[in-house]
Amino acid sequence: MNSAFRIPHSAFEARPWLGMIVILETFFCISCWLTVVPISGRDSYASLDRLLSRDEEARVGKYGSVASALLGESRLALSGHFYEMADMYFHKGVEHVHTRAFESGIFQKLLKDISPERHVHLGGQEVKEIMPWLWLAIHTDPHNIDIYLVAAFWLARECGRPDLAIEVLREAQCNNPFNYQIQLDKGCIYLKEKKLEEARQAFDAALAFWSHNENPHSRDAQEGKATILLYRALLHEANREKEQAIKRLSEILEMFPGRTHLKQRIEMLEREINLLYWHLSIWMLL
Amino acid sequence: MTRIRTVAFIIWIEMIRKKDVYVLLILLGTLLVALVSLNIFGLGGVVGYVKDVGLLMAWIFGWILAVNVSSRELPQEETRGTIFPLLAKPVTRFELIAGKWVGSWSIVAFATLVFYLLIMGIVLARGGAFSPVTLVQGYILHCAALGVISAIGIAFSTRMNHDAAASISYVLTGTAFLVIPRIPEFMARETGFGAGALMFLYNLIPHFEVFDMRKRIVHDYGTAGWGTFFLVLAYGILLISLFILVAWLAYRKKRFSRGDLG
Repeated sequence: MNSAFRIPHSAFEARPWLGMIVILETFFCISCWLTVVPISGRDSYASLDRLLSRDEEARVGKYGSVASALLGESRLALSGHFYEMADMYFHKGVEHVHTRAFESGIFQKLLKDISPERHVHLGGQEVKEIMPWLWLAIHTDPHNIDIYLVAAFWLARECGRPDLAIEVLREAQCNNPFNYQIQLDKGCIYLKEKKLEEARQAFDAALAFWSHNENPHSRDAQEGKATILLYRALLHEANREKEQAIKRLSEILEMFPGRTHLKQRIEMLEREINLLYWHLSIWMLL
Repeated sequence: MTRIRTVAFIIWIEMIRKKDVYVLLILLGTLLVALVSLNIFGLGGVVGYVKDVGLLMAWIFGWILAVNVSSRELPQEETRGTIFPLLAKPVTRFELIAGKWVGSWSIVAFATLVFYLLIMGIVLARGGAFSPVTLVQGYILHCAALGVISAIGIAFSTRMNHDAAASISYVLTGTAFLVIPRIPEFMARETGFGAGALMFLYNLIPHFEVFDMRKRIVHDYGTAGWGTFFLVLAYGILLISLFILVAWLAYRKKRFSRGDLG
């Protein structure tokens, strides 16, 4: 019987298929690499307005690379998949649990022993096992800030590599200029490392970029600004800059009047009580 | 037993001459080398993803090899006309089928062993490690799954040509890998006839997910319980026996005519 499609009998006959697989793989690798290469160089970033209004367009590749133009939304789906893989690795290979009609079948009991489904997290140096998937997610969608922030968080905390976390945030900054969250995270890492001057610069940059935020009245944006102002106030206190610290705290109170503990702190600053200890206690929480 | 071994040995000789295993080995090696060459944020000693992708590829390549090798043996004998001198010898149809299965399964198991050794070598070179006992458990269950796939290929090839047998084997085993484990989730949203049909499929089609110990190996969960291990192995042996029996029943009365072959 002749059939339109024959399974090749050997590698010799399979050469066209193998060749096609190799070509597709090569194409995909080149596309992923090109993802971080802009189509046109500096001209794409000539206008600040274009930059700041282009977040969504950049994510789907209008100002992006050849790979963005070719792969489009598929690139975002792939990046999402890699991020899910990182999450799965964080949970030691256990995926999100879906509702099942039954759980007590013999095959499911066997499977529970062969492939455990315990709810556990990676800790300490083990967390670096999630990094390859975050790396792939970042390089597939370099405009997704959250992935950069997650990678930097775990590198700085559990992996004990704040230097690498700063490198990741620098890369995020290159791909996503004028994003305040990146500067905020940088400032926090520098603060924890007691690099106060670098932290000050990062928080000042975060404040400057925040004003160009697309949606400044959203809850997340307001919380973000309050966090930046709080850390900046801490640094003012550490430098004995009482007036600037009070100004920052007052700005937070204007946005969130319910934070009465800040009112108390302002009073203490004005009366110069316990100047040394409050900011240090907040610092220790970082 | 000697006749079964002889039939199996012929398959080995043939596979050494063919390039299937070498091509897959080169592909696996290339992929693993590409993976370890990635600079993951400047971190060193990260090997989980290499193990995961490597073992996944070992499963995929083993699956492809098992279906291809097992589903072509009998049709090839018939197409070439060598089935006549073979059956003219004192080789029973059962010995022929068993020999074909032993040959195709053993060569696929050996190729899989080479894949595992390659993955192990690259992971060790990268500074990682495997739990030896868990890896051996995983390999044995993997071989059991490959045995079932080979038996399925042989069974279909008794009554179909190579292309059709391979296609149906791919569909059946692919469904068993990807769809069957998720039927309990699908059934949570189905009622009536749909739920009944899903339950029928769930109980009819082999469950390959119970042979897959990759999660244990990659994420360092340690060895599986020995009771579970032997139970799964027994399930694999049962499936192999069942499909070999089906193959023998389909083949024992099959008539060959020189004019119909080729």
